[in-house]
Parts: sequence; C-alpha cells; structure tokens
Amino acid sequence: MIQRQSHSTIYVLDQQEALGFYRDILGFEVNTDMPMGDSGPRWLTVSPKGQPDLELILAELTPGPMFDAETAEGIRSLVEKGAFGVGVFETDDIQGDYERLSGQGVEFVSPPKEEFYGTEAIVKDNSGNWFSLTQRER
Amino acid sequence: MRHAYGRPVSLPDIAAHANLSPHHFLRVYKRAYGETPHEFLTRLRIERAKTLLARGSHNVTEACFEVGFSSLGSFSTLFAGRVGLSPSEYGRYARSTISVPSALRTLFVPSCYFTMLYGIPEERNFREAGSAGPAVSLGQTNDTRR
Repeated sequence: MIQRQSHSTIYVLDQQEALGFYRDILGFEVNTDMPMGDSGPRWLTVSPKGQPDLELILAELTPGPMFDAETAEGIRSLVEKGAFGVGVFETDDIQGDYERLSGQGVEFVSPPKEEFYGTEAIVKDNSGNWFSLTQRER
Repeated sequence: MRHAYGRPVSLPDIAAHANLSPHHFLRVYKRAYGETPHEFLTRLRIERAKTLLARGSHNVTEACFEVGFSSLGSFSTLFAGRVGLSPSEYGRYARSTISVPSALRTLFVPSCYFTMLYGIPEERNFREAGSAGPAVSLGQTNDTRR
C-alpha cells in the first residue's frame, strides 16, 4: 500500500530563479541538487524546514517526453498567468512572514485574512504559481 | 538477470532459460519491456554502481568490476553518459549529500520520473552536442555480455 508522498512537482519557468525564491526568500532547504547530464535542467528538490522528507521538485518547463515544444510553451504561459495553484504551506508566524515577504517584493494575491481555522494569505512565487500561506489556529 | 548482473550474462543463455531462440527471445523481450536485455542489464549495473559509489564501500575500479563491467574505460564513459557525472564525481557528490547532518539521507533521484520530465540525459546531451555524444555502446557490443 502507498504509505506517504515523498515528492511533488512545481513547474517553474527557470530553475535557478525558482531556487532563489524557494531557498533564499521562503527559506526552504535544498534537498537534492543533482546535475543530470552536461546541460539542461537538473534534479532540484527543496523541502520546507520542518519537513525534510517532503521533496518539492522544481521542474523547469522545457520540452521533454511529455511535452512537445508547443505544449511546454503553452504551460509556461499558463504558469506565468497564474493558472496553477500548488498547495498550502503552513507557517507559525503569518504576520511576520507577510511583512518580511512583501518587503522583499513577493506578490500577495490576498493578504492575511482571519478565517475560522486560522489566518490565510495567497502568495505567488516568482514563476506565477500561487499557494496558500496559512497559520492554523491552535 | 537481476541476480546475475555481476557476471557475464550471455544472450543465448538467458534465451535458453526461456526456451526460445536468441533471436526470437530478443524480439519478444523488446516488445514486452521496451528495451533489449542488454539495455536492461546496463541500466541495472549502472544503478548498482551508483549505490556502491554513494555508499563509499567501493572505489570506482572496484564498483566497475563488482557490477560486471570488464573495462574501466567503457564503464566510466557509459556511467558519465547516463548519470551526467563521472563515477568519481558522483561518489563524491552522493557522499556529500548523505552527510547532511539533519538526517540519515540517501541520494534518491527517481530517474524514471526525471526521464518523463526531461528525457534521457545522454540523449539530450547527444541532441545538444549535435554530433559526438558519449560513446554509449548499446547493442553494438558483444552478445557475450548480456
């Protein structure tokens, strides 16, 4: 039986820039950064600090077996337009994160808002993917 | 093959196991699995070599012979073409990753998933180089080593 999820994919426009966002701005840790061949995308995964065994694959959108050039281009433009949500990240200090991240130029689709389960904001990464940043009520 | 990969494996031998002629076996096998027995064996050997190198239990030469290659040169070329790093670079890299203090972590790159995303590194290099990619010797070598 399947026991757990180990990897999840985030499609990004450029791996290096995505690394700048997830590692340097969000503070994720690089789990694996492995060149695969002389050029082209590498195997790059990051993990939230408190969850080193969940690897988020920062997958650069380039033509490959599943995407011809046209499809890759189409998905790139959809990512840029903000068509895709990539999930929820939980924080223990949403107000502090909000101030720090917006100070660094991170785009908030919606600022922190009180909900019955806690406080939630919607944030965009530097490719155009959006995600929920949530502080749950304890 | 999973058990005998460290030794020379010949096509006639494995075909005989299946009660088929070598030629017919090759065709049926390729249709069923999408790769030749030789490709499968090479993949298996490279994967095994990666484990040995990452673990640090074998140096490059030892790993090469342990997994059934008979030439260090062709092993290194093949390895670099498939993995993207030379065997010694890979070993160094893998061990540096493993020594991350937070956890006992082994290097894990799900290569089938990677290949779905980006294609096979060696073929990508080949395409991008336009001409001489790594000298990968699939099929052309010797039926004696399958």
